[in-house]
Amino acid sequence: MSAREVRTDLAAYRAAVAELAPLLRLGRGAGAIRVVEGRGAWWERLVDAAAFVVDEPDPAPAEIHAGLGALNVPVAVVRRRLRPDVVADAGAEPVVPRHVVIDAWGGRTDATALLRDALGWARVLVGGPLSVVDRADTATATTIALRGPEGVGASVTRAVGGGVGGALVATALGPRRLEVRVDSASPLAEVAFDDEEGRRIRPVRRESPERVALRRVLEAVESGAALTDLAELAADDAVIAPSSE
Amino acid sequence: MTWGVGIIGSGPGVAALHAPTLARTGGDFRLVHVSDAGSGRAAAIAERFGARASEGIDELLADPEVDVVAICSPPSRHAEHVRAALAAGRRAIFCEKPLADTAGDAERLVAECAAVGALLVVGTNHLFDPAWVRATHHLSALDGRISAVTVTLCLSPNDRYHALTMGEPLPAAPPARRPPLDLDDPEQSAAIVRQLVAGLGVHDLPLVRDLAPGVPEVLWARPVPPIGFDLALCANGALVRFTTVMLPEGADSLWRVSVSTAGARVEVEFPPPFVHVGGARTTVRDAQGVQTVYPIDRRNGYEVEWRALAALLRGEAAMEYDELRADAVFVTAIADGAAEAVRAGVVGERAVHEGVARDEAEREGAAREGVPREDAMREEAAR
Repeated sequence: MSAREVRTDLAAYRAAVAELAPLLRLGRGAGAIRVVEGRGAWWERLVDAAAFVVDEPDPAPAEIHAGLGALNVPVAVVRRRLRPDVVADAGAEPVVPRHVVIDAWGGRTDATALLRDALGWARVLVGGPLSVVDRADTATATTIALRGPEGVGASVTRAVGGGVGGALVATALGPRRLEVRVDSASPLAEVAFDDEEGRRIRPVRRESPERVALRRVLEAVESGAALTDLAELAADDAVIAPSSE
Repeated sequence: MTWGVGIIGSGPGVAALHAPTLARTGGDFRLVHVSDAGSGRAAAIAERFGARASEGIDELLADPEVDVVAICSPPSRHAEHVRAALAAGRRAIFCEKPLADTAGDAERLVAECAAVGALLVVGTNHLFDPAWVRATHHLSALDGRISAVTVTLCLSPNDRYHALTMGEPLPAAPPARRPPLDLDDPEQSAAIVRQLVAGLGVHDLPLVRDLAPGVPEVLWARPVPPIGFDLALCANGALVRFTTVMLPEGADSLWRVSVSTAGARVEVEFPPPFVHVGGARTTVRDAQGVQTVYPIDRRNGYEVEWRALAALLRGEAAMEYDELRADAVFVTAIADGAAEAVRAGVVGERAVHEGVARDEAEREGAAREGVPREDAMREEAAR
């Protein structure tokens, strides 16, 4: 099998390509996987490739997401606060949440994406799409009451503070609790389950997020399997869309 | 000096909490009298501590060895018993939270205490936890307003913790006869949320007021199955999210308060109720990503609240009636606002799910505890 080409100038992805040799190599051919930076109108750059990796996309309007549904190629979305392998760890044990709470704190420049990722964790922990019940905003904080499938509630709070990056704590409240901690100060997320037997912490994920993304999109290209990253991004963007952010 | 304590009440909060906690006050207090409302449990508690027991409150209030009256009766009778203690000439009172059912009654009660110079400590134990004092000092030193406060409680039944502070369990209280709980009914749902905010939220709402004083505006409130609430409010420009779930089984209790400012996020994790393995754990994460975990103080809020009363009795501290009054008004305003929000809200599709979940939880709770779940909740919420 020949190596799939990856088109990117981003250092972290070039390193990830090297870490996936001989499966991948750098190149700009028609069958390449293209890495797209998520700043600005990132969706306009989803052209001329067999698959895409979108790195930390800015929130996009619903009509843009609707248009992206016509893309017939695999797209992996990199959200470092919502890594797919960490999401998988969060599903390692059955949890029946009575309510889900997400607390996020981070810098102003990234505040909207932080809120969007906090909502993503709420969606994951509740186990399905969310609808907004109510929302309140101040200059430095937002809190949103949500409702998921079967009426399970979620509460997401995002406060603005600190410098670049931030921290997020996602907790599913139930007889077995699940707690996910993500902090930009560390590349290692923590996933812990608590029940009457005590606390179990999942092994940390040490694969770089760029390598995870390239590996996933390559597997999708090779197998023809669909990735749901864009649909999930659209669902999370839709929750924050009614605001003026 | 050792002050004699007479406790009105005979629930787990007496047997497993205040009676043994008095032994942690370095000889400042000793239990001399316990009274009940006719259950007979006061005698069992009194015997364990070499104290006297009686039924009703008259004998206890007339006991010359009682220097301090501790009111640990059901929350709905707190105000009545504080007044009875004042009328009996008692001038040192410990009252479990909440002080009164309504803001108006709390204000009157504090005024009555102030008028005669009675010393009054309300058992808002988290407010007394050394970790909270440290956290507020840390926050005061930071340059930046409070932007958000979140409070998250996920509580298991208290009885697993009672076993850690009693040599033998007390006989179970007789089950109270009340109609079954129906959270699908907005009125009942509102009443339960109000009761939970007033009886359980009262642990932490004074902490919220500590950070965000002012008139609180409840933004929304909703019930959480099987028993709990989720609400948001705004106070002094800060957003507050307060969520609590009481479960019939499961993980160790989670009791967490998080505070966000422009410069740091402070997380205070309180230990489960009743236990004495130190106070809360405070973690500060600053803007550079540096995380500081403070050592856990050996004392917790239960011990320190009694030591605070001793300091008042010795004249080492001054009564802050205005703070007590403001705390009570703050909590009852939120409890009333939350009830109104639930009453006005549409339970809708949640009702079906919550009804099923509640039924399951009530069956489990009733089977395990031998009492209706609502009664267990009422009792536990008050501790």
